[in-house]
Amino acid sequence: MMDILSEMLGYAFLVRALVVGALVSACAALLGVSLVLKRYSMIGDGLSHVGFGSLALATALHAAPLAVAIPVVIAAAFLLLRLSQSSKIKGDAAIALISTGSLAVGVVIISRTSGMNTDVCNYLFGSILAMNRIDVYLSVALAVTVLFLFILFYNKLFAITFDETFAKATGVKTGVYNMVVAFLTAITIVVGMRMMGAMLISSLIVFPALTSMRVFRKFKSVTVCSVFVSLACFFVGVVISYVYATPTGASIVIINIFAFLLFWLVRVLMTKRVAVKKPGLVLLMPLLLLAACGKSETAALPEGSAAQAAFVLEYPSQRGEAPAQAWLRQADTQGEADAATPVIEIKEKMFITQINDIYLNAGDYIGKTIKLEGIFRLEQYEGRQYRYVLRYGPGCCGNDGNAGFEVSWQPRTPAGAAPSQKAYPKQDDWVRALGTLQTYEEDGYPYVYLVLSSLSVLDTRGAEFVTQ
Amino acid sequence: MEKDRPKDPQGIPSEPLILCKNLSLGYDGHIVLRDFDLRICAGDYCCVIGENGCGKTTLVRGLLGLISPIRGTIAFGAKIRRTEIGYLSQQEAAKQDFPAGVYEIVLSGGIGAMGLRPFYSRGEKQKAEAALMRLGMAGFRNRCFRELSGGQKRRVLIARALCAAKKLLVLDEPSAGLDPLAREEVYRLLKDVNRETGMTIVMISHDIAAVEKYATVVVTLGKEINAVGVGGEKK
Repeated sequence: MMDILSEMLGYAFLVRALVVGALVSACAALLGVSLVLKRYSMIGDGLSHVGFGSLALATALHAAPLAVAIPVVIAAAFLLLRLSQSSKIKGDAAIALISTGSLAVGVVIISRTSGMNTDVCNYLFGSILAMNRIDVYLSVALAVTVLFLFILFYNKLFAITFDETFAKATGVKTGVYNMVVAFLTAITIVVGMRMMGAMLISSLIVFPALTSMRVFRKFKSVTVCSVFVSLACFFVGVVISYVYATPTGASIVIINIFAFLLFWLVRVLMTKRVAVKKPGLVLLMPLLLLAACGKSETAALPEGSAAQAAFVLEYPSQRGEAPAQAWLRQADTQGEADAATPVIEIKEKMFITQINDIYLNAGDYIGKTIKLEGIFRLEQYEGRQYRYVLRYGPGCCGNDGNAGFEVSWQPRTPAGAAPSQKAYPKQDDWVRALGTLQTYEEDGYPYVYLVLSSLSVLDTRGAEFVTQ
Repeated sequence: MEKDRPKDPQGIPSEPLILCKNLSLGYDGHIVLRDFDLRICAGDYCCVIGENGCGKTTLVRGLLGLISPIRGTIAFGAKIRRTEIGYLSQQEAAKQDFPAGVYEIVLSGGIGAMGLRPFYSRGEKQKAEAALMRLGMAGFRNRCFRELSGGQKRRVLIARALCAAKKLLVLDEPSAGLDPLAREEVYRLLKDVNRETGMTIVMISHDIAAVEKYATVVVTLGKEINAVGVGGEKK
């Protein structure tokens, strides 16, 4: 368990995702209690669909995703709130109108611009995707603001949630506070939806509240408990998603289902035997669950390499068939000789995400030495040659996505790859590449690529298809 | 039994706390109470009576600003603000499955007076404890609201209304669901509050005996709306 954790914390982008995810989980759980009790749970779902539409719009406009999504979703939140309160159109129907409407708009925008691709898939179903630094800071700032405002307005929110008429009669501006809740929900959803996916983010709002309501009977204890449940489910979900390469959002939701069933069981036991006087003890259950999961994971995967070994079995070893090419080997040792500078190694696990992170935060990585293994591909495009080291990954419509780097022995000139002195391996060879990350410009767009210091053909092929 | 209206120390009759003029109230343009005047003064123990469906609850909701008048005006006197009103509604406060503790609920009575202040003051907490004690619910402080009986719930909500009320207490059938003994207790308690603190009370009641015993003003709703002081003086 500890091995897996320290391995996970070794990835900077994963740490960032964990921080943002944990904050979002806490915010969603807090707001969820109010939303569920006010019968507004579907607002969360509606807003996430609006969020999808606005992310699609942001992609089409080449704008920052949060900058577009946040105002749009906040506006939608106010609108939904209005509609839910008016009796003209029934609230649930209004939400269905807006959510399916914006989903449709999003899909049309995407089909007219980028087409269905992995990004869209990620928006729908979530991924621990690499976020750039500004995104991370903004997300953290927003989530912390939501937490702070929630604590500040906690007492008002309780009063309004419990009995809005009374609150209004005693002079509380309930409309304002309802808007505050809608506002905070909108922000939480936008920040969380890229990790959880538009389809799944509302589960973060609904599940923890319903789970803790199985056992706890006071508003405060329900609120506190749902934060713990949400955080525990988030971390367990992420670890499981990391270890078993399952989609992050869905894994978190499934853990939430287990937590719900667990709390339900506790409830049943409590009603059967009234002896359980201190439901507070149940607060410890998520921790126990976490520990139990940790045990079973380590049992299933005694060594981190087990999964890798399973993959290798699918690709028969070519050892002894293709003799190693001497000149490549030589280049390899040369490369490792001046490897005094730290090498960023892209491992099989989190291959796609780590590479995404490098692309998104390219500024942090330019000039750094990067090492990766993958398939060597030579592609022709408009008479120009491009060489890549890559692996295949999931696309939205079949497995047509891929992740990796363009490589070149020599710095590229604007005219294309400079004629290279050193040879390249054969198409589809399995290679290990070591190079420094550089940028070049072509047709007005900047690209990143690796200036190789070594490129060696390996006998044993790794996983050609990766999911994370 | 003497039932004179409370007076200011100077002996001047108290100024109106709430003054309704040519008021029409109703829902979605449908008028329930048409063109009436009503004056409620500080220190009144005012009972609203009338048949089912005559608009008692509508009147109360109008006074509280929960529905806006179709015509006419409701003016609040200089001595009262909206945040100084306590309210007990006729309906069950929350949905069946709501997780809330008794103390949490009673404390939330202070919410209106808090303004933008985020947390309850010590005074508000003490007031909540006192209100619980007064309603005989101190022993239920840590219980879950939804597990209480109907009568116990009623008492908790009355305690909450007491916490909220500084000048005016509006109660929509406070005795609903209470046994006769508890009912009498509640009426007496309201009278005590009215006498001790000069709290104005507006109460809807079907309990004519209690109305006769405690009220200083009786508002009868029917075709005509009459507010009659117990001495028979028309207001």
